[in-house]
Amino acid sequence: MRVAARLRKRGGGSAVPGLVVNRLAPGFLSSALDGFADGLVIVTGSSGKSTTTKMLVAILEAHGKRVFTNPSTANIAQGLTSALLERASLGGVVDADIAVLEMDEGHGARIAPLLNPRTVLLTNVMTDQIDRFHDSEMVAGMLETIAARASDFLVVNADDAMLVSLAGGLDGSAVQARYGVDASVLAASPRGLGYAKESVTRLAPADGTVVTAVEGRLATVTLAGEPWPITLPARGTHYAVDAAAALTAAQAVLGSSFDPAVATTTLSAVAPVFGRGEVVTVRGKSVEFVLVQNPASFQLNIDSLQAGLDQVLFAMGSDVRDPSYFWPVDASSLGRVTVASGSKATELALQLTYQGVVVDAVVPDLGRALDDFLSLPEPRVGVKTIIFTADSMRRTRTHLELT
Amino acid sequence: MTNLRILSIFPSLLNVNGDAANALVLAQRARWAGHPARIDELEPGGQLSVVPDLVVIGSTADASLPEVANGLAGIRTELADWIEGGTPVLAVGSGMDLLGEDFAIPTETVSALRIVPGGVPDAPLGRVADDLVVNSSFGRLVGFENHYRGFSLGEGALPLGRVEYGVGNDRSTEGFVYRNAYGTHLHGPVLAKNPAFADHLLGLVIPGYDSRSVPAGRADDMAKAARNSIAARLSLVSE
Ligand SMILES: [Zn+2]
Repeated sequence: MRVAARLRKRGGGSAVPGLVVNRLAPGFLSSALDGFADGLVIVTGSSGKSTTTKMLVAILEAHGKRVFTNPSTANIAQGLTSALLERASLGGVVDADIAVLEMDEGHGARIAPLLNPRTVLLTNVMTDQIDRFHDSEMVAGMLETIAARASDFLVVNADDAMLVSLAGGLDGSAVQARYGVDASVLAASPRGLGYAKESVTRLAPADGTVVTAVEGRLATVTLAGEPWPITLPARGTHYAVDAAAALTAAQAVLGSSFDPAVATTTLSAVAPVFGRGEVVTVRGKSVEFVLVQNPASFQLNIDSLQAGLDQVLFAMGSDVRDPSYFWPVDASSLGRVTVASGSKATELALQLTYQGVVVDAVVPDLGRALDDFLSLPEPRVGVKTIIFTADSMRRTRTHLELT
Repeated sequence: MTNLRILSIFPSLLNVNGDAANALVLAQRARWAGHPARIDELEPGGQLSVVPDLVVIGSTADASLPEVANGLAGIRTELADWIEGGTPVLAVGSGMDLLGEDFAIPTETVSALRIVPGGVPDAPLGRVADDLVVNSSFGRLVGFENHYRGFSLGEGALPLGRVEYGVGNDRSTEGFVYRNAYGTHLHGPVLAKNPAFADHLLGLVIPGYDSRSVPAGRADDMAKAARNSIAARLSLVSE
């Protein structure tokens, strides 16, 4: 069963049956996704997809919609097909009003011709691994391929200059809806928002959904010019931007039935996605998990950690082909890392050391590092914090048997 | 001694792969050995206020090369004087290309500095994005290369080393050495993973430099483990 187990992991869900169906019935995926009465929404971009998707789904459900959504990392066609099969009747009809799918830009662009989304939500373009996507222009090109499929609405981050430019170049029928932060929120983020290119001007509240204040987990967004308080799943301006994105998309999809009070209340109750600020109890200890997806999210997440943490495990895995591209990130605010782990542990430790972070131990074996780290007594400051890249996150979840 | 001055050229543009971190590596190693050091960052159009002891030039993507070349043209005289005068310079990736002859990118011809003999040949290598292992006079250098163009050495320039795994300049030689200027395709913080190379550069400018210190020892153990883990993955013998 080892091979099968591996295949399952890669698809995020159960990839094997999906693979089989895609071979036997190649039209299944597109016809199933075209079968929702309220259409298909695609959420894509470099980061923020999972949190935004989770918020959007919650808001739509609070408005009475039955939503089909893809489980966490089942971004590929096979995983999606499997997930659809689990929910489909014998006739191939999925019992839901609307589908909201999170898609990796690479996979999304590849299957874009099969998809007819009514709404596409673009989160941002961050510099991704150089050897994976080569450069941000390429990512923008993939997002453009997906965005071009939107028939009704294109929801765009107004602070991301590459997205604004690609949206401006589309000649489709989709109406554009925008979200962003105001000048005060931007000014409070000294390193910016992490996008490959930041827009020069800020969105006016009359022109979209604007984040006007962020204080810890509390934020304010303006919807149709009116301010609404919200609570974020975790600290960090990027979560407020995710919230603005979800609210904008919900407003577009629901039209006149959108209720801002219901939407903001629902959104405020959304729990963090695993690895995006979620605090979990593991072996009796509170642990915060922080996912690092690219240099920008590495920087943003480290900057939003509580200062002076004395128990941090940082794991970098084989998904990081070349750790060089993380070196522009200034990790010095970590101060001390209890253990560097993962297959790239030594390279990570090297960066931390040169940036003045004390690394107490380097333990490439992640299972052993996790066991030792969790058995340490409670930290003096904050909670035990585990920072990881995507591959190390998967291994961590498996090792700790977290679903 | 007085502050060691390390000049980082255009770090906002030439840090796509973390190459600008080489300035940090030099500064930290100098400090660990008891020598105060500072990093001066020069951005395009900025003023050169002091003569540096060491210079670090990183790499960028093709889209930014014309802007970088334009900025470098403004400091060509100084860079040429320093290099001819023996100032140690580390140039990585497209930063290395820019020290040689003019070369073509898909959109235009880039005006390079023509300080180092040699340059990018007309025929590109094709995209290379993989590990690069080089045998050099500083021992085995290990890192990552991600480039499309090669480099051919002109008269008076020597290779930095011989390719043990990867492509480098032309699948046989890698990088250049011209006076105390060093070019390499090993991108990112090459000096962190290969501290012998860093110590050679520091030894050129710090009289009596002794790299041995407790923090350097810790960092160098990590670097060696990192080099060996890459070597093992490539089925090369460990150091
Ligand atoms: Zn265990």
